[in-house]
Amino acid sequence: MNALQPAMTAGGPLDWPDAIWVGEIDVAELERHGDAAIALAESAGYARARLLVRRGLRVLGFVDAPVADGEIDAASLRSEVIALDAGSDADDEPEPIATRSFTVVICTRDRPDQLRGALASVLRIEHPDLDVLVVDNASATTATRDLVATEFADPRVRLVEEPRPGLSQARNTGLLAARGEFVAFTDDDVIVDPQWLRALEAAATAPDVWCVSGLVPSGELRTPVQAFFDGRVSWSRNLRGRSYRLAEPPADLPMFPFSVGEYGTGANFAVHRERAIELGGFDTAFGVGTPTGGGEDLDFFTRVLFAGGALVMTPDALVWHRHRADLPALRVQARGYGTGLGAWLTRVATDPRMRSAALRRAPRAAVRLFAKGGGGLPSTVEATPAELALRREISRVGWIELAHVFRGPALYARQRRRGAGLIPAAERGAPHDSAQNHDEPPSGTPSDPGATPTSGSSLVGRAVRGAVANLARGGGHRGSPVAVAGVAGLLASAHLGSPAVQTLLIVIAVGIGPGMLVNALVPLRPATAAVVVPGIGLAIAMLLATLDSRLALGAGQAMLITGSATLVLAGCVIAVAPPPPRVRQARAPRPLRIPGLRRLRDWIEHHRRLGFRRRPSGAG
Amino acid sequence: MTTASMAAGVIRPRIRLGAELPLLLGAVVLLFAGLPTMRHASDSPFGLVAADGGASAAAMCGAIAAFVVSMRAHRELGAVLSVVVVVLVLRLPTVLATEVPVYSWTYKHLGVVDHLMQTGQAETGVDIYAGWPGFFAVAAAFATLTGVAPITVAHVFILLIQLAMLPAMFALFRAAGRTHRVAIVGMMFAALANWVGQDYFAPQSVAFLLAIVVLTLLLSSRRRPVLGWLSVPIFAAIVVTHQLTPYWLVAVTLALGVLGRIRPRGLGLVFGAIAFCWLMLNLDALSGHTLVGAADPVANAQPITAGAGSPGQTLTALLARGLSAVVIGVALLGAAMGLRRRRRRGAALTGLVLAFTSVALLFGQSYGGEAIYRVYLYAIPGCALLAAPLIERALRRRAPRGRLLPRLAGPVAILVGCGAGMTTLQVVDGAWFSNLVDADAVRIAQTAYADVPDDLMLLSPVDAGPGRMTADYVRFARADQLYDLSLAAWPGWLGQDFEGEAWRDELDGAVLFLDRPTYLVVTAQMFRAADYGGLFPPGALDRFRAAVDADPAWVVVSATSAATLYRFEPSEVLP
Repeated sequence: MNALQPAMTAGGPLDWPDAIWVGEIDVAELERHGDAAIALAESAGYARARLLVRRGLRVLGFVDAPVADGEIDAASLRSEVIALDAGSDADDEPEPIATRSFTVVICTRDRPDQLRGALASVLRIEHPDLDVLVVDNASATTATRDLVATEFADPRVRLVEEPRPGLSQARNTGLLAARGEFVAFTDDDVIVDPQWLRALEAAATAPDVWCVSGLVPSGELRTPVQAFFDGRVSWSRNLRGRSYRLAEPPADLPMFPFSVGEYGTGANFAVHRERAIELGGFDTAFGVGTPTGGGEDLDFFTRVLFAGGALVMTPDALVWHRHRADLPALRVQARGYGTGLGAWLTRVATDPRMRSAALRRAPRAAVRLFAKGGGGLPSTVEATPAELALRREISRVGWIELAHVFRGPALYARQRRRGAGLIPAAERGAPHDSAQNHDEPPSGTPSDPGATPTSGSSLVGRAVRGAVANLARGGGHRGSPVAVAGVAGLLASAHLGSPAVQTLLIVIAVGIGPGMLVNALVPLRPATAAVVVPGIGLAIAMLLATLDSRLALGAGQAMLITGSATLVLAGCVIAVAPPPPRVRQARAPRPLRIPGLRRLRDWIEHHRRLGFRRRPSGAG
Repeated sequence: MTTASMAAGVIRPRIRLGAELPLLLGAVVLLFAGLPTMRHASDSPFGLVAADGGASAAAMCGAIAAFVVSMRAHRELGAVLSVVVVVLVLRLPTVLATEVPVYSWTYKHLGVVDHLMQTGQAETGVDIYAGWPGFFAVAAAFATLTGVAPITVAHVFILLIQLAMLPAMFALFRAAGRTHRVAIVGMMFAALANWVGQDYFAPQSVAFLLAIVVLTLLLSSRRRPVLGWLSVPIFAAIVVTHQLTPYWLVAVTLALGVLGRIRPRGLGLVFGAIAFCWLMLNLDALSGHTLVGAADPVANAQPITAGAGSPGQTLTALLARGLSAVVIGVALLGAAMGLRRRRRRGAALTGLVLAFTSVALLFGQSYGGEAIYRVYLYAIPGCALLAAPLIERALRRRAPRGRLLPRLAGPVAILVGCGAGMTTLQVVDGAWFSNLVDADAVRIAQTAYADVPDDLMLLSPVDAGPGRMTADYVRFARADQLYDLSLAAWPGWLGQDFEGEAWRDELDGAVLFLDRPTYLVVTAQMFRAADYGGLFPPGALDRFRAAVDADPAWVVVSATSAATLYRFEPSEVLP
């Protein structure tokens, strides 16, 4: 056997003692090799190696082995591999089908050096019906165009330009310009496996499969930052291939359909082109290059499931990824992951259907989110003070990501206000042959920024429109009374005011809070709300007070604090949720004609406007 | 509104308060001007109306006239304000013309709240309140959290609960599909029909208010079933608060479900299950109060009448019966007219269910002789639903030019309305002086019994006044449930003329025999209540007090112009 090649060529110098050489080995080759040591190419300075073990197309798992003088011991490796092979539940290698056409879309922005490797690896794939689309997204230079024109003058390669920044925008452009039945997306910082498309195709046999994702192992573990990232993301080592359908929730995934870590990642997945376009493509509120910084893949995967499609994850479809090598780049990425996750959670919260499913899983999700925490870095050698400092810095990255989750909702709202959304319905029917090659400017550009986003389901569309309208109006007009009532309750529990002030606070907290919370979820007509809102508050207070008195708990104060805190939290959540659909009446009631109120309102509005326009004296 | 603006769909808001504005202002001024007179009015068996110099009657007429004028001129703002003023005329004196809350029963409830505030638990072991503590518990929690004394809350309670009933009734009408004009008429109808006086600091007041909210949600549930489910927690709060209201609601909900007027149609079963579970939890506390299926409906229908009655009470009772008959009669007329038209048949059936399901309570419960009042109280929303459209149509009708009779419709409506308003005023305030609690008596009740041993016996000639208003009542009642039984309730003592000395010897002998620390309280309210109810012959209580004053066995502990507290000293009687 020749020396094993690394999965990716080194992206820089090696100066970390715990660095791991990464490559792959086939079981058949190992069996033929005998007991002689196995040489590793480009392994100078590495003390350990991680080998992805596969048998033909099938990926069996990873084994770690010590490296000595650029070699690993074949006998010990074999014993580990045999154990891995025996423990694997992977069935026989699937038959290649190669009957479906594929378009591989790589979105890039001013990174020709990285794109070169990724593009070359894609073109090494042998597939009878393959074309490659490079989407040059808002590049500042012509480097990408030049690279494709000069080094990849292959008839299978086309280049389209998408001047609007954002990964989702670029992917939508690629999706609309693609020709293949399936469109495979990957990034420009990867090396794809030659069997990539074959594995994706083999997994997409069922007719309802709209999306197939694959494994994205770390192609380079040269720096502690890369090792940290590798340990933090699940998609680099998720070897569990399975199909996901909304109607068939897996018993072992309580978070399903929000088990996003199981679905793969945006660097390695393929979609059924027509289904994806019907779904509205990618939501341009998300993704690298936008304020939210990520989340577009999470959003797409969950939308596929909620729209009734099947999502298949197969570890056999391999794309090696080069993680960020230094701390600043990692921090940027962590921020993007955090805001992307927060934005996506907001998207879930604003979709009535997803929201109801998510609310049931919210406590568990919150625990998982915080349990993830800062993370750490494994070490096999004694660390120097400098390394310890680096480890501390790296650990903080996890908290950076967590903190940025809370920025997500506001950024998502901003994107919505700017008109971000899905591919407009009018453009979804655009014929695929309108796609341009790199000699012609693209005409079939996707989503109109001003278009109202819709996403296949009118319910989803309504929810998104509602969220936009709600936040555009200043946000949270339904949630804020709830939160204010909660704050009033918290203030009352502190017993700081006079009896009159305490009375006011309690009346606000009890008379408004619970009822407005219900009114936010089940909107009532004004006349009904005027009595039901305080009625609900009074009823809940009576029930709790009864419980307290019957059981002699003495927990009135604790109930007030807990209830008020709940109201504050719920009010904040509702503030970013869309207003519910208007109450529909079989017979529209005549408005109550108490004209004084309207006139008073008009008068206030009139003078408010006057006040805004008033110029300071002497301003001319 | 011009034709052009109508065509363009533009409705310009107008603040229009025509003739009703001076009428309303006049009514309010009269009311406030009369308050000092009401505060210091001399006792009258005919109630406050006869003693306040006509202020409340004039204010009521002004408000009613303003209402009629507003409704006929389609100025609904004036009509709404009129209803508010009517409620103020009827209930504001209970706040501003009194020093302490009216109604003796208010103080029994204050005692439960005080017990809850002091011990934190509802379990008194002496009365029915422990099983239904919702209202008391929330009142205690409110007082604890805000620092506002429960007696202060009780003082303003009647006015607040009546004002809160207005939007509740409005919402009920809107949920029933009535126009806002009919809803406003309904508010006025309910305000005038509600003479029952079940609106003081008591569980049924809040339970009834919440029941209106539940009915509002139920009537809205036909189009939105989720609102039916939303009523469940509110119903649950009623269940833990009051013994009677939930069963009325269960009956109404079952009936509306059968008629298909609510969704889900089986919600009455859910209500019933909740009420039944709570009943089972508190079955012990019910003994003697409710025997489901074993009650006597005829006896239940009788109002509480202890004494022979006074001319004032007789007049008030007659007016109450007449007013009730008119309310039910107009409601039945409205129902008949509604049932004639297919389109309105459903609404009429809903109104009938709401109005007359409460009659079933007479067959199901024995409620201390008050059941008939509750039956009428619960019938008011339904009667209003049936009657209001009729009245609104009558008020809406415009007089054709040149015809005298139709042009008299407005004045006739004002006259009829004023008649109804005056009747309600008399019925509501007829027992004013009987119900007026003396501040001195409250002070005694708050402080005098704190250090008295548990086996206290507290005597009074009449059961009127702030008895049981502190948590101490629990330990006294544990020792003897009837520790504060009044002399009027002693066998053979009702109607006693207190002539001679035999009764005094009997009284002293009985107290001596019992050998318990015994107090006697005599308040001015007891004289008024005795006179109003005709409990004793004229002058009997004066003789009683004179005899007690002369009896060395009764030592005065505290004496003011309105209340005297005596303590029995056995050493003065024993040789």
